[in-house]
Amino acid sequence: MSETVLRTIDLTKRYKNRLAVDHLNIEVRRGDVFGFLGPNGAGKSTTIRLILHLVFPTEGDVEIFGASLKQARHKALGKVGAVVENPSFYGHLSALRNLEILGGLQKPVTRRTIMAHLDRVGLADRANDPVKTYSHGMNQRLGLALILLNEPELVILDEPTTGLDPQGMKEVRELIRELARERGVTILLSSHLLYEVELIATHMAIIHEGKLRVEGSVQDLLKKGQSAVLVKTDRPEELLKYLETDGAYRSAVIRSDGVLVELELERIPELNRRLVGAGFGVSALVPQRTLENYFLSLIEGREAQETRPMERKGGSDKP
Amino acid sequence: MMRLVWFELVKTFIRWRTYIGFIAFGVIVPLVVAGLKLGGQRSFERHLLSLLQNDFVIGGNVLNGWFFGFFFMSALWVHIPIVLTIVAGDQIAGEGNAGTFRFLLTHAVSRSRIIAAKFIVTLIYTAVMVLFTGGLTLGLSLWAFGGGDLLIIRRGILVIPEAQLPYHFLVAYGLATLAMFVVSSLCFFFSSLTDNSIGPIIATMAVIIVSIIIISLPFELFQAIRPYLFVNYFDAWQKIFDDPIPWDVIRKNVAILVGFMAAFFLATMVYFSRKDILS
Amino acid sequence: MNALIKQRLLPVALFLLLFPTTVSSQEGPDAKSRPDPRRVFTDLANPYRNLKDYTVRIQTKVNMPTIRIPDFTATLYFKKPDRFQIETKSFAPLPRNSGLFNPFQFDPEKNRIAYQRTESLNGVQADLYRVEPLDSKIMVRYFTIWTGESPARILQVESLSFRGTKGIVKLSYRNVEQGSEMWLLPDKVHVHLTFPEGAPNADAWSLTTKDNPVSGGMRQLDEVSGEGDLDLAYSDWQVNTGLDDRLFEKKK
Repeated sequence: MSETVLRTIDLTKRYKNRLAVDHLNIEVRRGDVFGFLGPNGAGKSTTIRLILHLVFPTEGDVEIFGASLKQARHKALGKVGAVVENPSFYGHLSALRNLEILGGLQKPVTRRTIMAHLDRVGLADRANDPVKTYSHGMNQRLGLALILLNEPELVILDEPTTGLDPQGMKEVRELIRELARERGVTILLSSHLLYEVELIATHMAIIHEGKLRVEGSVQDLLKKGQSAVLVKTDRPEELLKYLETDGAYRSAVIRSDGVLVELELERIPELNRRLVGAGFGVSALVPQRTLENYFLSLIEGREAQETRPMERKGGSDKP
Repeated sequence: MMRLVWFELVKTFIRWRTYIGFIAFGVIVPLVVAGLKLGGQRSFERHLLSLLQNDFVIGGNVLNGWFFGFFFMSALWVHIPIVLTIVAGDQIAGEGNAGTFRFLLTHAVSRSRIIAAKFIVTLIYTAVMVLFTGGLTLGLSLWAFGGGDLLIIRRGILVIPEAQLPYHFLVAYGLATLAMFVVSSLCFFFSSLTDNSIGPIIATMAVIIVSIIIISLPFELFQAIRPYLFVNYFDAWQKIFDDPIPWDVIRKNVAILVGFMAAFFLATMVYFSRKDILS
Repeated sequence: MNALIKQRLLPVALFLLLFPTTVSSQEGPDAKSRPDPRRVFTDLANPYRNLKDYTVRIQTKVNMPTIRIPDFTATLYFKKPDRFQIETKSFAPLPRNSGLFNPFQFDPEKNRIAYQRTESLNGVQADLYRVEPLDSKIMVRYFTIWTGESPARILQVESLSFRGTKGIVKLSYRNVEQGSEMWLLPDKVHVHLTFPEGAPNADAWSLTTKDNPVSGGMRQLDEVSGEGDLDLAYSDWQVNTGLDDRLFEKKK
């Protein structure tokens, strides 16, 4: 069993009458790409700030590489690099100067090293420009360059692709994969973009209203989740009526591209026979087992709500 | 620690707003000197020495460079504190507003060291600002009006010979710098309470102005409060120009001012060490 | 017998002859021996008729609680009839009307002078005169002047200004040789000033505390009170060197 890199122990944060994080216990092991999921306001950012000691817990503690944040902050954060929300720099200073200052707080960083990292994120030619002239995407890349300067063993990313275009998102995902696979960096990635987490995370935890709902490997969690199949047919309304009358399946909803039927994946052949037997033309049966469904089922209960636009782009960039 | 101080120096002195005070005094002081030279001097003389001229004929260069250098020191009460707060108020609040604490404080460097580095730079800026103003006012005044003895009106008239004046002004500006350290420390503390740098500026100036009013008015209640206000001890720099120099009183003032400065700094440390960074 | 009477009476007669004169000289002047103020002061100024200008070095010690000044040195220039210029690096307040030697100051044409009495001043017989300046620019109500010695000179001057300041000036002289001429000029002057009590400057009204540190050092001089002394020592007299008028032009 690999080493525990990060552990929260009954981590709690109360703001006056509001419990932002409620006795949270998660564990991130070395080599994990740990997805930290939750809807907006669930407590993800608060948890990240608690881990990074930007915010002080009401109760509980965090251990990083075995060192308690309360008692040995210096040791705990020594090998951590983090980008919290939008990376913010000193706008009046150049990228080079920013990295010199922010990257050199613990120990000096050479200009050569800085330029190499800027080059890695595609900002070498803008190194001497004031950061206030940078676009949002450039800021994100600069943030990644910064946290990698000190060669961290744990990287914490809070919503790293927010505001990026698809190309930018892809670059960030590739960087994360490279860090995890090639450099052996452990990554804690918080996001509300489920598709993103599904694509790159090995483990995840879902938090809602400050409480941990579930934690485990992505594969295991997906197996637990509700699955569905998209039935492409020429008569979707009639198919829906038939299924509702039949009552053999939990739920069915019409989508623009077919009828989504909630059922265990192993029952797909059975569904196919029944539909064909009932006289429906079935052009395709597409399994729809997704993290989003699982997430929604956890957050909102068993009944999936009206279909919402999925933040998925073709589904081709799987790890 | 030196590296942290260096970084803070870079952050502070690369910003153009740091130079607002230098530019402001760099423009205003020559203007005032020019105005005095062009005619203000005579009216100054009449106003200042009208009673004395009933009984004496005054020889010598009364309104000389040292006199105006001393006159400009009155800017230490309000004008210089304003420009100091522009930088001091932004030291912590500015980082909060910009969101740069999210990088700055997520390293293994302790908050107290970062705050200490910022405080040192704030004091450095304060000293540079005060000494720049002193050098500018004295230098320009001496160039425009020449030298001579310094005439001070306090419990009658006191004249300090010119030979002694460099020493007096040096010590006076040292004490003035200490007084301004207290102003900057207070503003620095206010800066830790908020993410908006305007708030500390206004709060600090409000404290100073109200305190000045309190110590100036002869009401019993105000005079009872007076010993607890740090501006009450600012005039250490004026006491240097007394005869005999009340060193005991000055030492006491220095100790009190240092105490206030330490208190504001400690308050900042304690508060900021436990502050949730939400920006 | 006759010889005895003559012997005894003669001193008496002599005494009686002299007594009226003696008495009259001690009790008070009669119209015949009272000095003529105009003539006295004209005679006082006469030795200086040919004095057109002078330059003198004055060293001053000030001993006044309300005016704390270190000893200072100044060069005083004078040009007839009444122009003065002070040259000094220091702050040099010289008593008006007493520290600046002007032999023509008490010109009978410019003053109303009245003989008061004769009295002893430091063991010297001195005539007392009351002098009231006719020029309103002179900020003195009147002077009381003691003259005496030989050659006649002003020994002491008392003044009362319109503001109420009293000054007592005691002068000593010495002969100053300049080429073929000899001048009797002041050597040392002692000035005692008494400022009026409770005479604040109307412009200096202030709501703030007296020890208000905010305006410390920059207050307007709101009152000069108490008393004190100035001692002036004159040296390096240079008379009639032909001082330029431009020396006396007011500096801007």
